[in-house]
Amino acid sequence: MSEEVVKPYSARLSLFAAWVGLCIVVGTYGSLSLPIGGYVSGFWPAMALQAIGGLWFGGWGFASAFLFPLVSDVLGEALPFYVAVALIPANIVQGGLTVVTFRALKADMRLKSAKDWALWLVVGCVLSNAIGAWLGTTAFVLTGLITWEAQPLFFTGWFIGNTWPAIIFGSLILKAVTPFVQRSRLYVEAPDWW
Amino acid sequence: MQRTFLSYIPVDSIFMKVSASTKLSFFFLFNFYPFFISNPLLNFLSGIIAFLLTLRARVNLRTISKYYKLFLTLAFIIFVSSAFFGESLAGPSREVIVRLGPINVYKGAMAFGLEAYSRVFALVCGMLFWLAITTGTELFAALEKLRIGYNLRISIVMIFRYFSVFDGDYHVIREAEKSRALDLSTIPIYKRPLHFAYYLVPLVMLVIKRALETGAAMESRAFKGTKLYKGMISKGKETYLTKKYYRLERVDVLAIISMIAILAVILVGRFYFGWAWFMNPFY
Repeated sequence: MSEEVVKPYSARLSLFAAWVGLCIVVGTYGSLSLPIGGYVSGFWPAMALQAIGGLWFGGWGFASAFLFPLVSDVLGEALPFYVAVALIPANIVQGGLTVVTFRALKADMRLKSAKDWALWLVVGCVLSNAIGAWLGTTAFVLTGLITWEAQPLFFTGWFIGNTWPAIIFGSLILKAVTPFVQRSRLYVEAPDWW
Repeated sequence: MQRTFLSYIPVDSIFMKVSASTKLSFFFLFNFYPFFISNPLLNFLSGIIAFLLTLRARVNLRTISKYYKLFLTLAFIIFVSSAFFGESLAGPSREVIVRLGPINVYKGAMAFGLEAYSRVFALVCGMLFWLAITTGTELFAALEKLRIGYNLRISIVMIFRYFSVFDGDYHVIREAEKSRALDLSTIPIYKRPLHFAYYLVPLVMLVIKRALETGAAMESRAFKGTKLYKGMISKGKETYLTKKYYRLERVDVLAIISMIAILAVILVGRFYFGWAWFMNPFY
């Protein structure tokens, strides 16, 4: 008779709500602390949490990655709600690409080896933000906020504003907090997503 | 006093007698109004009405006054960006109202900035009013009445509850850092972001601890969680909460119908008749 593994879904559901709440607070206050204008912040530390959430909490973290900006973009970036909705594809990439790559290439999120560091920096910090910034600024153009001519400027602002907090805070949190999370019931270990 | 999502409200406040469904309808409908109104004056007016309702509810303003201060920061963001990025926002007219060195400040861009700011003003005032008069139990009962699945409704309620909890934690950590001689307000603005880690790491640790504690509390009350998406799509059932807390009086029905009627007038006036007073007159 096979033994059924009871997963701590209650705690993870609670975590999902808590993570969304935290990201809203960090996204809002982070954006307001260094605005560079034009609906783009020069400093968006929530990016670090957006990428890390999926790595630690699988589908729960990934789902929160594209839900919390619906609120924090309105409060912190002064974006209309329909534009925040149009940014969902960008946030899906920013929240999902890192975890998919780490799982596919079996990298360690405690950043122990050069391969782990390279994947985190190249995919988690640079590539996911480059794609996210392109999708996001394209959404700005398509929703009529900016013109195609202004897109490269906004892309640069978004990309820099997201990348450097991800490199500094993301690396710090991954190194410092990951062992604590992995010992908790909230950690969703690959290949499991829930 | 009754604890709400963002503040405290006297138990004999008029808004404690309002149905949970009326409050939920306000949340949904009031959030739609500013998106269909381009006239900044109307949006400012709806924001002021929301603020006056907050006063009428006798909400403890000390707990939410810091959010009203955000309007200054938002004004800075929106108007500075409208001035600096004005060329892409100016529209076809390209009328320059003032030159600041090499920067042309376009009339169209500033009109756009005013429109965006008035929308945010109305939305934030409405959101603060709703957060200041709604309790977790009321929202839960209203969602239950709509037969929203248990996982989804508990997630929605907890997100709003946690938002205010972590907002409080953020300020507690700030004060703790200040007592250790780290005051961000005394640090040059370009150095502030680097110090954000002093807030971020404790906040992340607090989130994990709170989630574990809440999960244990939920399980001790016989709550059995499921996978996120499974629980989200399941149809909810009424529990004792609806029977105990839910009520819908005639005045609530009238209020909900009035809010729907206002939205209908805005939509028909804007898109069918093209009434000028819903448009931005500053272009």
